[in-house]
Amino acid sequence: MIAKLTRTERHLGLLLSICLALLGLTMAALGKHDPMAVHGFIALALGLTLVFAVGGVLEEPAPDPARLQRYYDDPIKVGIVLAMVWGVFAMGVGLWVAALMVWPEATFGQPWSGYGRLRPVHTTGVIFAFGGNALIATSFHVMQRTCRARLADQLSPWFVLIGYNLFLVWAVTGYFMGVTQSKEYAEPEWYADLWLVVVWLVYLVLYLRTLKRRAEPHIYVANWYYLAFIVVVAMLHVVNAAALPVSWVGAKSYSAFSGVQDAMVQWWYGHNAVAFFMTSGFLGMLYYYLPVRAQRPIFSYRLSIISFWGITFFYLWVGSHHLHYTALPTWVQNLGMTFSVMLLVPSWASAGNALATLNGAWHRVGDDATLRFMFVAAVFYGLSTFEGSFLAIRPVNALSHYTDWTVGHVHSGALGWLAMVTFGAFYSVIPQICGRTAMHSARLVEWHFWLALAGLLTYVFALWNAGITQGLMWRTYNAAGTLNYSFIDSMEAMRPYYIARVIGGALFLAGICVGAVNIWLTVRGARGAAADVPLAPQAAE
Amino acid sequence: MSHDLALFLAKTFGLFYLMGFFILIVIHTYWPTRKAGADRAANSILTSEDRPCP
Repeated sequence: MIAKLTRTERHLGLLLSICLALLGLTMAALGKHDPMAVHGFIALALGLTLVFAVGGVLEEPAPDPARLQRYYDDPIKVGIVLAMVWGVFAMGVGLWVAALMVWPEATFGQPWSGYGRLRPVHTTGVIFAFGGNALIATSFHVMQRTCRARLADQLSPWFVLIGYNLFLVWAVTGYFMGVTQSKEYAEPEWYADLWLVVVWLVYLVLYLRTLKRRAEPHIYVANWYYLAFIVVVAMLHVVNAAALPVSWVGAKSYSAFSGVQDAMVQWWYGHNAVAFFMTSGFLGMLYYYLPVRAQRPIFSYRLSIISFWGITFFYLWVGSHHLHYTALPTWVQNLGMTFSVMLLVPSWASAGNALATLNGAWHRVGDDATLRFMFVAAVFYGLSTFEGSFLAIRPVNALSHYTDWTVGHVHSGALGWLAMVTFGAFYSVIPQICGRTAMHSARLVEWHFWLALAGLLTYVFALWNAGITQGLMWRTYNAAGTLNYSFIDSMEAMRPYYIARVIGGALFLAGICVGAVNIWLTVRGARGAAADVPLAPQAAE
Repeated sequence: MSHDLALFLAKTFGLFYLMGFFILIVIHTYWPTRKAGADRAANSILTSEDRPCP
């Protein structure tokens, strides 16, 4: 794989690896006994590994110029494998966290395995590691195919992929050591945040350079969604992560915001992470892979554009619905609530557009588990966006907030929509870029689908029941006008639902394990490169 | 910026620019002559080249 880089790219790659090793060494030396030093050693080890890997093939002959007549799919393959590895790990941790709800002693008394440390490992692992690698890998595929142009160069996709995964390793190992900024979905400390900015800028530049080379006059709408994901996540990250480190040689920092402003910035970030990390990019996947797999154009291309602008403009205002009944001014709460309800229109326009595209291809949905993954994703996208708008209404939120209904809602979106569309996309991409006509085993894809669906339904029904029961128990008064149930009563009532959640999670995890094995076997059995080729003229060396 | 000014801007400019933007986008997207372009874009992903163009 490295030998496919040009000699210039190999030299640059070596230089970057040396810089990374030096950065790691500096952090390790200056950090002394701080967790930052551990992260320095991780960067040092990665940098040295890359120095040897690239150095070993540095003076090999230049790669075949014929490669420029093909798409560059190697980073896509690696990105998907990384996503599946992270997915298995992070969903495994999720299952552990779910088990802690039933058997709280299952931390085995270790500081690193407490609930407060495992939970961000799970959330970062599934959202940013599984989801993020999936988004990066599929965006490399979608941008090349829709532009009919090869990636702008061969080095920056690797910088993005490796750099992003270093950020993830820093984040996750940090949580185990107790390193956290205490910002939900943005826990990594300041140096990891700075590193992510660099990686993200390279990603944006790579995307724009590839778009510039496109042979298609129109930029297909999937790219708009991916670009919104990249641009808005950059903006959210830079504002929300603004912090002052206690010292330049330690991990600890303090946020630039305080009080209710901090809460508002946190949820402006937090809900837009849902919007632009967890929705926009995945809609890009849906708008490309669903029509391609169904072999039908999207039902209404123009509706997809209206949805795009609706989602982009409405989502940015809804974050305050996380702060109903708080010190936040009421008009800001109202603003968030109103925009959340309005958001249902573009969300359902997207979900309806996807389902209407399948109308006329239902036999394919029945026969092809890959397309069925995307069908379920579109259904759950519609369901969870309806639920989200509903939960954002203040009186409904009075019932649902702090209950497991919220957790159920998040998982109906994350498992039912994001993971499902990702699996559908992976099963579409992998055979193509491995030069095969189908996955290694169609039967294993079926197994994955039914395990995932059974796990998903078990999980979300358990938590819907749990949440509404909790909410009602907390507001039931007796004749004397005092609360009828103590908090511990509501905890005890949750036990059966929490056991059901563990079962649902185990089924979903079993599904992704089956999927990971199938993807690995397909990648191992690759039969050359993808059959399709770019249309855009390629620059000579 | 005072709280009252932020509130005033949100209720006036904030409202109208979004509504205006929405109307412009709808008119632009659904302008009848754009239909052919949209159909072409929708179909563009369904054909893949298996050799470079001459």
